[in-house]
Amino acid sequence: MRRQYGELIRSPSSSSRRQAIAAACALLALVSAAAAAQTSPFRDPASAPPSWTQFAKLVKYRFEEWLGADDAIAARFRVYLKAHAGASDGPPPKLIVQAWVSPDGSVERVSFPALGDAGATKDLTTILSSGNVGEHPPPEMLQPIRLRFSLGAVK
Amino acid sequence: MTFLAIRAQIAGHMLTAAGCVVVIAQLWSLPVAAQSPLQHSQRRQGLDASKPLALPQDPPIVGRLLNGTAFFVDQSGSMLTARHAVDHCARIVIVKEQHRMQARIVALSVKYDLALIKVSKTLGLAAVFPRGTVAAANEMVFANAHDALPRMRDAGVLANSRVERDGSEPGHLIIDSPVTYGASGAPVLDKHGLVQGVISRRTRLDRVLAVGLAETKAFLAANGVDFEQDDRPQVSPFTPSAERAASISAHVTCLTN
Repeated sequence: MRRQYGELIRSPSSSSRRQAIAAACALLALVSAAAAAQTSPFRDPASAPPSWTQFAKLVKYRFEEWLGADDAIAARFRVYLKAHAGASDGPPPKLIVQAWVSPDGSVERVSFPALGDAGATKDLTTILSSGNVGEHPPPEMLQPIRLRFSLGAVK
Repeated sequence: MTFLAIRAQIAGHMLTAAGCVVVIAQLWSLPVAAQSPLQHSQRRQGLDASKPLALPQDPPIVGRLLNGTAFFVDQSGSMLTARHAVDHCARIVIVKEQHRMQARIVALSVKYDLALIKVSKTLGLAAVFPRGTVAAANEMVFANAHDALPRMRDAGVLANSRVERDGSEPGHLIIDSPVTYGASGAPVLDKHGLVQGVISRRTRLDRVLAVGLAETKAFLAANGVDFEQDDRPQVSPFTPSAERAASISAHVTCLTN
């Protein structure tokens, strides 16, 4: 009983570390401003079926999770953002990411304009292609899914 | 001499063990009766015959863990669950994938087995409620404990419960469902991925009560929650309901003193 109770309550050091990570993620402001399923023909979010919009929201959430993850590649990408935000050779303030999700829910491919740093571009591609979103995409949903991210300036 | 000493030692151990049994039995029975939120809520509601579905995890001696399910209802971290799953807790912990967050109680329904709790942010998707489409009799719906969802997702389960309408439980949705401990507070999802109710308790082997749609929405509205409503399908007809349930819900643990 005591052992399990202890497992549920994190130690202060672990908690502080996670809070620091969460704060870093918030500062980066990697928040998708809009989600839309788009290809030719284009479907804007207002006219897309709710099931498509819900799925796009889920993809957005997963991307945010993966960008804020506690692993080496995500951490390196956040360091790059922090170091280069606002610089002439830095990442754009807004980034359009196109994502193709396979029928089993795993991210098959992502595409976005190069960031000006080959390593950071590769890292972002790796991060966004790293997992499964947790649901099957609606079979009739047009792909790629187009997501807009704001890369907040962090100094 | 040695034999007598061993006998005396054994007798001593037996006396000690008997004493421990008495102490443990007292520790076991008194605090459980005094601290279990399940029993408190049962007495208040007069539901002695029914069986709440929050799972007591371990035989309690000092404290107690109750495990249930909660789900997100807006974009700012508000969650719905069963009142009996979180009432009288010293601490409420929400677990979803790699996240573990402490929750606080915002409101407890006086009349229904509902609680509104809040964490710092919404993880995954927020539930969508129907505007006016209520699940019909014999309609197949889905509900299960958060911990059971990965297994059901892998199995591609579309529905696991059937709606019964006999008017015997006003304010509640009655379902014939296999849900068991840990499902308290879980959303009941219809074929469109819309929330039709919140799992409360089992009253018979084949009968589970969920707080009904109108009562749930009224509770949320009374507490100022900006929840989403839509009658259109939120999932593809081929999406296993367990997937959407997993996207909106989380494991809730109540720790009592």
